[in-house]
Amino acid sequence: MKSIFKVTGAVLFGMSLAAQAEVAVIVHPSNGDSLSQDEIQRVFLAKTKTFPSGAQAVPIDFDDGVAVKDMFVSNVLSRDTSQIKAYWAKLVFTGKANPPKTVATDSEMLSLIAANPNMIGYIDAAKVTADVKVVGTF
Amino acid sequence: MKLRSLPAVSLLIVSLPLSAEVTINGFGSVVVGVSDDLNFRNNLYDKDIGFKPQSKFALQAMADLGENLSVTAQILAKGADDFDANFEWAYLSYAVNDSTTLRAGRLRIPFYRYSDYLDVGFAYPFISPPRTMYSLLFSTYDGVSVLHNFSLSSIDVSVNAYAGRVEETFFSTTTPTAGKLNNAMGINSQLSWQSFTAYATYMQTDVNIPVVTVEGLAAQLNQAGVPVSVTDNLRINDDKGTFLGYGLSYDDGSLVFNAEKSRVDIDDSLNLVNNQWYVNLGYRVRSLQPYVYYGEAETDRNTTTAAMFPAPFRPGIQAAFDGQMYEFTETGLGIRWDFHDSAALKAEYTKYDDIWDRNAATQVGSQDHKESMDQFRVGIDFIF
Repeated sequence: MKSIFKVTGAVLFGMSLAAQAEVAVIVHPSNGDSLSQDEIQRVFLAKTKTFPSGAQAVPIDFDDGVAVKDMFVSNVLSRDTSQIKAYWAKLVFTGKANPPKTVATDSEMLSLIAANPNMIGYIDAAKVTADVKVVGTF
Repeated sequence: MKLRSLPAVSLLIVSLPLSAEVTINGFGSVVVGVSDDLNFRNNLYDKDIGFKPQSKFALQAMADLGENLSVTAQILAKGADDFDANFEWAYLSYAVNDSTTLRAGRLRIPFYRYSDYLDVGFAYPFISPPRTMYSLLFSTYDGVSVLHNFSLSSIDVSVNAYAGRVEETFFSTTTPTAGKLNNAMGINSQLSWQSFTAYATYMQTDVNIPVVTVEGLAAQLNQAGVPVSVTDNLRINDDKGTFLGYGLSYDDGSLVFNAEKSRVDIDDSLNLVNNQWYVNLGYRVRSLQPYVYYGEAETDRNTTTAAMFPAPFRPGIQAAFDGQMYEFTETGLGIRWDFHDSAALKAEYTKYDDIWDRNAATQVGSQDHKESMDQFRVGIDFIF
């Protein structure tokens, strides 16, 4: 919800590039869970705080305006940005939950996920490295 | 800005440890409206464009104190209150585990589907939820609440059980009276499955609202020889109040459907049982969401109380009850445009139709002088 104005250009540019791309949902290599799209949604929408195995699940999101975030919201969460904003407004202004912590860059995302067995994130599928495990591509 | 009646919890905010992570969010609405120049059902607007009745601004601070303890305070300034700021929420929250949370402080009474975020226009399609249904003008209590979430196979269940007390100015638009709801207890359960959400809510409380006109009427009747035990059936003095509500919604991302129904009752008082319901249908096309709704509110007639009075008084008592009868409908047509990630523009036309005549002198049962009122509003809701 911050500094929307200066990133608008980047969003438009990113969207045109992202049209062909895919988003990969990633976890720590030691994570043995397989996750359906529904289970990924539940983690990212704060409907559950655990992986199917019972281990704690900590979702990591991107800042607003990062191109892959729009792709994640539409391909994985199957919603549009304003619906997601309204969804979080319901939870935030009733004190029930806060949105996931966010990062600004792909390298931050990769290093966090590679270092934390409880975290789950996502990245442009073309940028996946061997340090993380892909649980789904959308 | 005048801050009234801060719950003790809010004082904690000023003495937070420096290490606490504080999140600040906010929301607001700027609404302009115009309506027929009628005093119809506490009409909020008139023929001159009004900005204040439904505009509002709010700030919320949430501090994570660590070890599953957090503090949340939300300050809301409503145009209707001259933008006096009030604490709508102020509470300590303790997460017992992933599925159970205890809260204590000032909290929202979960009467309706949108109660928890009643003021957050950005979170729902309407400019404000239908007035036929959202008729109770108080919304917070001071007390405790247990939130429990769990899943039954693919159904998500959320239960909120609460207890506390409400001190408010009741009947604020007709006979403003400082009153209390003591021993308020309630439970709200919500089930979500795929695109469907259903809820049911029940609350009961001891109601004390000494409305001047009713107190005066009771005193006069006592002087005329009617026993206090009989006139206590008029006064709102420690009478059991109950609220029962339920609703169903559907939202598959495109099609949106909502229906709610409720019943409000205050036993043994000069007050009629209120019933209200509405249905709402909307459809999202990209950033546009047109919607329609239709609602009705009506009272049940009470003939049992008058029968308790000595015969000469019965017609007068019955007239006092019948004078409170109402039945009206609300038809709304609007559109929401998400022109920005964090802001939505809405335009809404509402038509109100009286079914019972508002004139108390008219005989109950007639439908003469049926009145209507048109209202048009445009608003922007935003979050930050």
